[in-house]
Amino acid sequence: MRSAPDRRRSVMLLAACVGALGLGPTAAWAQDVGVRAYLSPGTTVGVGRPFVLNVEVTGTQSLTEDPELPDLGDFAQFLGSGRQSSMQMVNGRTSVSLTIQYRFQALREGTFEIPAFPVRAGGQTRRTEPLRITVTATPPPQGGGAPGAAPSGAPAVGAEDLFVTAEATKSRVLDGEPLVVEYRLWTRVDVSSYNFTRLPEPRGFWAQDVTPTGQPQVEQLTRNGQQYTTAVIRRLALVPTGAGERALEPLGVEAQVRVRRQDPFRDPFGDFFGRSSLFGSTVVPAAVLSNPLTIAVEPLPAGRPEPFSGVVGRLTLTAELDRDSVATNEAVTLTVRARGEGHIRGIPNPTLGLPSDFEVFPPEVTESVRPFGPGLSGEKTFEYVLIPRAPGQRQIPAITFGYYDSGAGAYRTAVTEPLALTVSGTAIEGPGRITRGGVAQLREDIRFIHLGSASLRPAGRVLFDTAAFWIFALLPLAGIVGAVALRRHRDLLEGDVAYARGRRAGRVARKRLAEARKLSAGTDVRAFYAEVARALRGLVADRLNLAEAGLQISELAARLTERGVDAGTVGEVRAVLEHCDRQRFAPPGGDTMEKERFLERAATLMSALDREIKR
Amino acid sequence: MSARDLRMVCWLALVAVLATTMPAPVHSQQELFEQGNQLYQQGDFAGAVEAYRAVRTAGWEGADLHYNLGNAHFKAGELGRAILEWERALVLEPGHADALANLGLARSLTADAVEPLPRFWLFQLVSWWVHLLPRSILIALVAGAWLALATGVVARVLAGVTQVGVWGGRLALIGGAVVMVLGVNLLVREFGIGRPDRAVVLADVVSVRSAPAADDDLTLFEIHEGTRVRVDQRAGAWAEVVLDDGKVGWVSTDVFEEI
Repeated sequence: MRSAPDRRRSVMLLAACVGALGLGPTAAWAQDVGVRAYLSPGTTVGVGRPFVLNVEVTGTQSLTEDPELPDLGDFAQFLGSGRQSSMQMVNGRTSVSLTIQYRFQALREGTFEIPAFPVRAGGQTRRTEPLRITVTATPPPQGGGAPGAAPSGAPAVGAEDLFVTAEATKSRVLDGEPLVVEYRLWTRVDVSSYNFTRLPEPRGFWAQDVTPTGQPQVEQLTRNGQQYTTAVIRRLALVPTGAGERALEPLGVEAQVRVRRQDPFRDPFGDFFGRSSLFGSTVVPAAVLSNPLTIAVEPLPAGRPEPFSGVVGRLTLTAELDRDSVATNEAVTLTVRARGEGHIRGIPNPTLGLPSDFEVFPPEVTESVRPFGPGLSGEKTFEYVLIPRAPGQRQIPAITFGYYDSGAGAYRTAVTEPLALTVSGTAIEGPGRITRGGVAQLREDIRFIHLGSASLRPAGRVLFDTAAFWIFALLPLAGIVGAVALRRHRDLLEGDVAYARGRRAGRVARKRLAEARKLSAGTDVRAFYAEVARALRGLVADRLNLAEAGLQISELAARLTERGVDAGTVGEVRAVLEHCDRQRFAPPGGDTMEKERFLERAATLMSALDREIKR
Repeated sequence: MSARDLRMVCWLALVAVLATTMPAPVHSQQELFEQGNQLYQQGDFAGAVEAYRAVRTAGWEGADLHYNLGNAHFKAGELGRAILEWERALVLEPGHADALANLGLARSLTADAVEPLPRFWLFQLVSWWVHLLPRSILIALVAGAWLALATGVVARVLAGVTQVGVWGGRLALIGGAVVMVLGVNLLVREFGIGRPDRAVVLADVVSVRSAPAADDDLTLFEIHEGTRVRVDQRAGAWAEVVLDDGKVGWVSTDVFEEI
C-alpha cells in the first residue's frame, strides 16, 4: 500500500529535475480537470481490515474545497486521510495531479455501494463514478493479489498475525450482576504502537473502565497452536441495567506494525523517501476489529425485599456513631458502610428512620470499587451528620438493605445493629433550625421620595440675606453696648470722687511744682512760695480727699498722722508749709539758689508723701 | 445716645427688616409640593415633575424638593435631569443620604464610566470639614456661640472682677472661638467659596471638541447623558468642560445644565 505513493513521488522528483534543466519551458499548463475515485487495495476487503478510498484529481492541484464524502458509517469506520500531489512531464507536456486518500476500516459483511459525489477543483465541479465494495468474512489473499492495490513492495500484515479478541467473564448474567469484558491484542508481528479507532458505547449497561493504568502487561500465550505476544488493552466492568439480549459492538484498533522489507533493492528511492526504512524495515498501519459479544441478561426473580440495594452478589452493612453520648444541639456523625461484591456503587442512600427530633444533613458519600474475580467488589460509605434537638436516651434504628445472593440464588437482607445514643442537656427551642444569612438584594431601585412637608426657602438666598440673621447678629451687640452704657451710668452714680482725685493728685502736684520752678527765676518771691505751698497742700488734700481751701497746717498734720504717715515726714510737711507762710511776707528778690534748694526739698517731700499715703 | 434711644432704634429696625423681607406665602407652596408627592405615588411622574417645578418656579428651593423632583425625573425616564436634581439637593444638603444612594444607582446606569482623579489629601480634609455638619446644625451652633459670646461680654462688663464676671469672660472666649471657626465654615458654605461650577450633561450624546467650534474634525471624545462636568470658562455659546477624570474639551452650552 505504501509503495505506490513512494514511486509516484520519486517520479515527480525526476520530472521536476528534468523541468529545471530547461527541457520544458513551453509546457502547456492549462489542462482539463479530471476526477477519479478508486479503492485500494481492492474492491474486496475482509471484515476489520482497512481499505483506502482514493480521490484523484488531474489537471490541477488546487482543490476549491475538500470533497464531501458520502456517509460510509454504515459499514466502515473512518481512520484518517492524507494527500499526495505529483507532477509529470512527458514529451514537453506537464501533467499535475492530486490524490486524497481516505483510510477506512471495514466493519460489516456485505456488498455496499459508495455513491457518486462531487469534487470541486480548479474552479470546476466534477462527479466521481459510483463504486462497489464487498466486505467478506475471510479476507482475500494479501501480498499483491488485489487489483489496483500497491505492488507488494512491503508485506501486508495478515489476519493471523494481528487480531483483537473480546472476552466476557460471563455470557449469561442476572440483571444487576456485574461482569468484566477484556479486550486483548494478539500479535505475531512487531507492534510499535496502537490506538483505538472505535470505542463503542455499551448500550444497556452501566460501564466503568477498569483498564490497569500504565503500559499494558505483555505476555506470551499460545492460541490455535501458535505462539503470540499478547496484552490486555482494555478492560470494562459492566453492570446490566435491564433484562434482555445485549450486543457489544466490536472494538476498533489501528496498530503501527514494524515489518522487514522483502526486497530492499527493488525500489532504491523508497529507502530515502519512505516513512521509515531504517535497517530495511518499515512501519505499516494495520487496522483490526475485535469480535462482537452478546450477553444474555436475565431478570431477577420476583419477591425482592424492600428497600432493595440493587446488589447481585454479597452485601454486608455496618453502622457506627463517632461517640455514644452527645449534648443537645451538638453534631454526631453516623457512618454507614456497605461492603461486598456486586454493583456496590449503585447502592442508593439508606433511609435512616430517625426520631423526629433529629436533624439530619445529606450524607457525604465515598466509594471505592475494583474488579473482583468475574465481577466487582468494593465499599460505599455514607457519613451522616446528626444533630439531636432534644435530650434523652435515643436509638438509631437498624438499617436494612435487600440484595440477591447470586451464590445461593436467593434474596437476602443485610442489617445493621441498632445504635444507642445518650443525649444530654436541655431542649432549646433555639434558632438552630433557622439558617441565618445576609439580606439578599432582589432588585435595585431608587429610594422613595420624601413625603410630608418640605423645608423650603427662597431660592438663591443665602443666610446673610435674611433679616433674621442680621437681627440675631446685631441684638447681642446692642446688648453689649447697653451693658457698657449701664456700667458707666452706675459708675457716675456711685461718684467715686476720692478715687478720681487720688488718681489725679500726683499729676496736679507736679504741674504746680513746674509752675513754681518757672517763678523761682523771677523776682516775685511771694508767688513762688505760694505756688509751692499750693502744690504740697493740694497733693495732700487730693490724696486724703479733703477740701483744700482753709486747710490748716495743724489739721493737715493730724490727718496725715491718722493715715499712718511717718512722723518725720509729717514734721517736714509742717516745716515746709510754715516756711512758705513766712516767706510770703519776705521782700522781693531773694536768693535764687535758695529757692532752687527749697524747690528740691519740696519735691523730695512730695515723692515721700506719695509713697507713704499709697501704702 | 441713651440706652432707651438705642432700644427704640433696635425695635424700629427689626420691624422694618421683617416688613421688607417677609417671604411669599409658604403654605401654598407646601400644598403644591404635597400635590406632587401624591401624583408621584399615583404613578403620574410627569405630573409630579410639573408640580415640583411649579414650586421651584415660584422661587423656592429645598433639598427635599430637589430630591423628590430628581426621583420623578428618574421614574419618567429622564436620567440626566434626575442626576442634575439630586446633585442640586446635595449642594443644599451635602449629607443627604437618599440623594447619595440614588445618585450611586443612577451613575451606574449612565453610559460614561468616569474614574475620578485622586484629590490631594489636604483638600479632601478641608472639604470633609466644611461639609461635615448639616446646615441647620451649623447655623444653630454659630448662633449659640454668638449668644454665648455676647452673654459673656455683658456679664464681664456688668459684674466686673467678680466670680460671675470671670466666668463671663471665659464664656465669651469660648463663644468667640467657636464663632470664628464655625463662622468661617458657614461663610464658605453659604457663599459657595471654592465650589466649582458643575453641570450635568442632558443631551444623549455630546461630542467634546478641542476648540469652541462646530467642526467634527475637532472632536476629542464623546460624553453621554448624566455625566457630571466642571465648567471652566465660557466663550459665547461654548463652554470648556472638565470631566472628573481630567479630560478637557469644549461643548455647546445648550447640552448641559448647571447644578
